[in-house]
Amino acid sequence: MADRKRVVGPEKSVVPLLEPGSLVAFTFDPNRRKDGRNVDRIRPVFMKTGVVRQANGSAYMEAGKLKVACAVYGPRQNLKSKVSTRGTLGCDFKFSPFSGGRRRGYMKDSQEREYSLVLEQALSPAVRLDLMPKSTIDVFVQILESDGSAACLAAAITCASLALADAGIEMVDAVAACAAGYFGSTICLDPTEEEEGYEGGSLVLSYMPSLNEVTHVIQSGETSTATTVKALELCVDACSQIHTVMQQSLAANV
Amino acid sequence: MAGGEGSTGPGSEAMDMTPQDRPSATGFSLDPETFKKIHPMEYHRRFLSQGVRADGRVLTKFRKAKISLGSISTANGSAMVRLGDTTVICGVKAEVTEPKPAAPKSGFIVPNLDLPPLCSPNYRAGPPPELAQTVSEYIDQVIKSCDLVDPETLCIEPGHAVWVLYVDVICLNHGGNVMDAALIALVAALKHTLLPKATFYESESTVRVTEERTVPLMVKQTLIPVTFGVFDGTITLADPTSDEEPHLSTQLTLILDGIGGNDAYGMLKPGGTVINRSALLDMWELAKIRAINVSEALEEAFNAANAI
Amino acid sequence: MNQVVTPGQRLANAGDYQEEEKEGLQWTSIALVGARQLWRTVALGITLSAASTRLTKLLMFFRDDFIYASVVGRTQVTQPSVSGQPLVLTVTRQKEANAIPDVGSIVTGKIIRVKPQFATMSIMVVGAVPCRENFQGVIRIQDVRATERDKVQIYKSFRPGDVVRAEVVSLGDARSYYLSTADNELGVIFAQSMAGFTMIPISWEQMICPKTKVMEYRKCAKPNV
Repeated sequence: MADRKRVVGPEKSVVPLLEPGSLVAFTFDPNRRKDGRNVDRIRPVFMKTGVVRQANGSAYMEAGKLKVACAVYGPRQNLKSKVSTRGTLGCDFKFSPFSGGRRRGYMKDSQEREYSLVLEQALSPAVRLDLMPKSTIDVFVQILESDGSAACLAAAITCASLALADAGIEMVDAVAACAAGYFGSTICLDPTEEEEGYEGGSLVLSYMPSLNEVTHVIQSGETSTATTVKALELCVDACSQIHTVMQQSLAANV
Repeated sequence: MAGGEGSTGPGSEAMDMTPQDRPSATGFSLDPETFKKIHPMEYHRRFLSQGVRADGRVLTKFRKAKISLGSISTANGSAMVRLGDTTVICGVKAEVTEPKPAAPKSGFIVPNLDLPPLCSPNYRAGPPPELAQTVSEYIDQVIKSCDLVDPETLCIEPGHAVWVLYVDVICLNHGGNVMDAALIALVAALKHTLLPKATFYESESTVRVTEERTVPLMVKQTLIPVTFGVFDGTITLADPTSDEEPHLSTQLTLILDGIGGNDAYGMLKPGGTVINRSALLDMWELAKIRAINVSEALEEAFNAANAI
Repeated sequence: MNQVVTPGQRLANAGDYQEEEKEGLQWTSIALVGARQLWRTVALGITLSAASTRLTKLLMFFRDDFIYASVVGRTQVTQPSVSGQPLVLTVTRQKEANAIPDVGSIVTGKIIRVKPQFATMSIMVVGAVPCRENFQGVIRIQDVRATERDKVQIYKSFRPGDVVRAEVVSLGDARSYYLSTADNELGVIFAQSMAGFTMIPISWEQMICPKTKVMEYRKCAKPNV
């Protein structure tokens, strides 16, 4: 794939394998997580609004090693000329090239396209688009460092919703999102990249705590109904915790 | 140019420090924000005629460079640089590739600047904007021509395996003068880069590496870029902001070494109006002082990173 | 009570308040006027018109018998000065959102194209708030002035580069808002002559260049000083 508009390197490059000796035998036990968390604990979160001065609203979020930046532009003129009495919400999710184990290209891959769509679906119900005829709101999420793909998606949703609120855009509630991983019958909240390698499935819940409404939920993998229900409950609790941090960081600017 | 005597053109009225409402010739008054939006050239001209800029700096004052290192643990080296509102983050990823047959010992450095639509309302999703292309291309030229990193130090096994360093600079906030921020970040990130110890196994023709990164990259120079803008063909502005950039008649980037500012590595003036020789010499003098200041900031950043 | 709110925060029971129907007022904040009374709204600088019921739902919303805030800001309940008068529940936003043109708003911008049937304008300021990004609007030939519409010629009214104040008459088509300058206060507020000097209006349809004394045709706005 020739990209004439960027500096291109060699055609093919690989991440080198580790020396056989350096691989420590690692058995995963969800009840003894590497970072010392309980199964129902999320990583400590840090949030800050107003980081991108050029944008109408922006937010930066850290959850452990995971780092996300988000900027919101708009409401602005919808360049895709289609008349609408409602506004539209466009979301763009991107991993930075250096954010993960392997270097990522600049072109959006299928995962990034999927996450962009999920982001839009998870946030649209919260934004009062009926107040913005003919306009569009653009949300851009950039993952600076990833640590678990489901956790990245959840952080992206939380961070984007924070940026929307920071932009002064009318919303019915701030959306908080949380990921959970299934390890047999055990549920671990907010799994890291390493833990994700051992999970049998995952769930990402987007939730509006003040209104007690779910905007989006996506599950993959196989579990029992009872486990799913329990995971949902755990995620709802975690979302409420995240929501409190979001409210605090928004209120700090008032 | 600004405020020509007796001219009824905009800018003729007596000016305050802030371009407040003035009873304009047409009898309409505009508040400062509206005025800035509708007559941006005039807005800047009024500030500059008073010897200050819209953001409060004097003409030749640079924004302080704030540098932090190693915040991205997934990268082999990383740096975040802030110049006022401008924020860029640079990450170095090392991967293994085959060398070219013509240069069996030479590794690769692939620098790219990305200006995602996140960083400014002027960019939309899609191919990189022109500025990103020019800056990436120019940085590539400069680091190749001055041998910032000797490509042969990136050799793992001659003819079989070499390192390729992908140096990606992402702009998170475009507050003007992305060139300087990008190159400072790139140099800082490369200097902070650690590679794992790599061994080439002939039998399975693969490279295996240790888990820890222990080998520092040999970076020969500290390149410091210094950019000036020229307004109305005569007024030199150091380190222009994104408000000023669209209205500049030309720009000039000088690249110096960070030790005494005595060695020059590059100079770029992409078109625009002429710069006269004495102005150019003045810029060199200012650039030398700036280069030393920035390399001190770099030094501090390294001390802070090593202290942890 | 003066309290910080974030989107989704519950403010009051809906039954205690009613929406207030008031027109032509300039509000700096949105208020729900209370004790089973009024719910007032309006954003900064926007004049409420009878048609803009949409505006009355700004900054707050009803759901399931409660009133919630929908922006980051402050809320306040004002006690009535005279007993029997309603309580007023107000939400003031912390940060002005992007200005977007709406029907009835006064906008300022630059003419970018002139065609025999319409002039295209880049909307840069809505009310008193500059847009971060411009919107596109058109002034059609029938909307240039209020009288003798059949005699209007676009090129005698606007030239590219003119700064024009106009009113939004409709949300227009897919690309542009429809604008009107059919009022004394609306029209060209700043224009340069062929020679490059700022011209002075001498009537509602002519401007003069102070240097060359050449007169040019424009649909001028009446100076507001």
